[in-house]
Amino acid sequence: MRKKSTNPIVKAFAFMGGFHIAIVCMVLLLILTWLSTLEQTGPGGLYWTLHKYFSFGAITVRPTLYGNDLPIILPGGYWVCAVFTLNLLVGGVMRIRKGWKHAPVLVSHFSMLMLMIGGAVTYHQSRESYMLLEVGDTGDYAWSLTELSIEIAEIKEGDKQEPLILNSEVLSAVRGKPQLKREFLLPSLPFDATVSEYHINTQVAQVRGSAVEGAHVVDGYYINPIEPTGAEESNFSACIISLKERESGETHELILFEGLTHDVTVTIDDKIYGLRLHGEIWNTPFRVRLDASRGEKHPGTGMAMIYESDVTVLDEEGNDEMKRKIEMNKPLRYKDLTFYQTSWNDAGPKVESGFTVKTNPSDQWPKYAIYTCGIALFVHFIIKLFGFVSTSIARSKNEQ
Amino acid sequence: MNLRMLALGLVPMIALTSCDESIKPVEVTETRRLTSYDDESNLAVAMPKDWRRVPSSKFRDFNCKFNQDGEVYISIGSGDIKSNAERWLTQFGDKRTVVVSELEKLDVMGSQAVILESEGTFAGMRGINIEDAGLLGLLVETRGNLITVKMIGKKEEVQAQRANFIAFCQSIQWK
Repeated sequence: MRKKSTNPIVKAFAFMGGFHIAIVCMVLLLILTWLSTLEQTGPGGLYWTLHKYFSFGAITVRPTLYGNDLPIILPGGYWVCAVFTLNLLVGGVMRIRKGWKHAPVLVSHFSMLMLMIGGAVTYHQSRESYMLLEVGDTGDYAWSLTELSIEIAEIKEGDKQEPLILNSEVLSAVRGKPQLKREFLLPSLPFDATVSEYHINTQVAQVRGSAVEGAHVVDGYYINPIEPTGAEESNFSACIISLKERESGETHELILFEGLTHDVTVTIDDKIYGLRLHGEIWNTPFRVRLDASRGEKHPGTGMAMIYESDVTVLDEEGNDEMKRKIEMNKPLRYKDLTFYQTSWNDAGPKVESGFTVKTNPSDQWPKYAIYTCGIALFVHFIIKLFGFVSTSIARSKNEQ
Repeated sequence: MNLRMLALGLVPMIALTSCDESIKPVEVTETRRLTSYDDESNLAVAMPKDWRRVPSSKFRDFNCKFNQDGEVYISIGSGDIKSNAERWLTQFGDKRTVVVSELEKLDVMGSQAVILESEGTFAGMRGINIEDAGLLGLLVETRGNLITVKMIGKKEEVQAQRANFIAFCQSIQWK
């Protein structure tokens, strides 16, 4: 029997890799998953519920059930996963008994560790956007349905120039927190910007006669906040952006509204600047032309049942690079991007295919981790089976 | 400094810190190249520098403002020039019958457009009344559409914007 160490570091190391931590983490993840599943059916919706329970910034979570805050505080899912990964590393890989007989268990633990690390890589490094194409159209960008950016571009003779981007990450500090404001320093432009009153779901209304009481009216318009819907992609955000000229100190206020399909403008230093709040634009490194789109709907509904698309991938110059068929669960993988068809619509004058465009460095890690774990556990089972059978045979021989 | 003094000093400091609603400024340099997304409209327009584009609405495809409350907007609609011109004049209490051939002409979007002017008290659709208002409008039939550009504002402000209005109208192109 191994003698127990009295060294506190060793004891802490043993505790960190122990079963107690593993069990607590798994129970917590079970509870968090259960509560978040219930909560996402409410007004918060899936996007904000995931953000509340499993984001990096969610150190603790106060669950809400059927509109009531529960009198408990749980640790955030991200951090429970982090502790669980550490537990798996210490207990399941570093402290586990070594030797060829235990190799399959070690490999299976290692593959689970890769699964957890893959999850973290996905969280921090993956990007997902949407591309909607009509048959015959060529797409060179995708846009995010949930992550919004503000773009500021000079407009010369009606032509938009390369825009400066206040991306979703820098805006996240004020998004949905209308009482907060954040200043953005824009060295390439003659002004700096401050974003405030950033509401998740709004209508932008024009003042009719006199302004609504308490409304912040900007150039005859004001933001009317409304209750966000459960589906983040169907909310229309709005904010106020204040541009302060660095030389004169003069400020210009504008309302930016996600529901607009064009820029709003301001003239500073005799130059026109267009500003817009919209889903983050992602320039794809190649273009995709939709050659054909086929689908079938559930009878009596507008919901697509099956769909597939023929696409041609084009290089930067517009030359054909390759032709592919994208089907359900058979995406196009090309140059670190994956195109999954996620919608199909034949209601308009032209048939449309919608693609979720994703990049994820750990895209295939779960698959490899599960295969590896499956093989390792199978080998472990065979070793144990042979051991059991051979022991049983030996025992029966001895008894005879 | 004893501990009690330190504690007394810390309390308001913490309270003040929590009341600070601004967040640390951040420098932004990220850009992206233009894509087909940036071709937002089926019309190409060069807007004068002293105008500003404001949110479009159902009947205002390209909506601008000038000065405090002056408005200019492009509408892509249907109908004929005469009835639309007469409807505009009615908003100024002007009951005259429009003779299209007698209106000032301007080449816009490869077609012959007409210019309509009026002044008086404007009674708009949203219950807005403007005393001493001016109207400067352009109507053109092109590709089966009636394109209208309407400028409403104080009479003297509209007159001052005439050159801008003409340049704006002449810049309109189908993409």
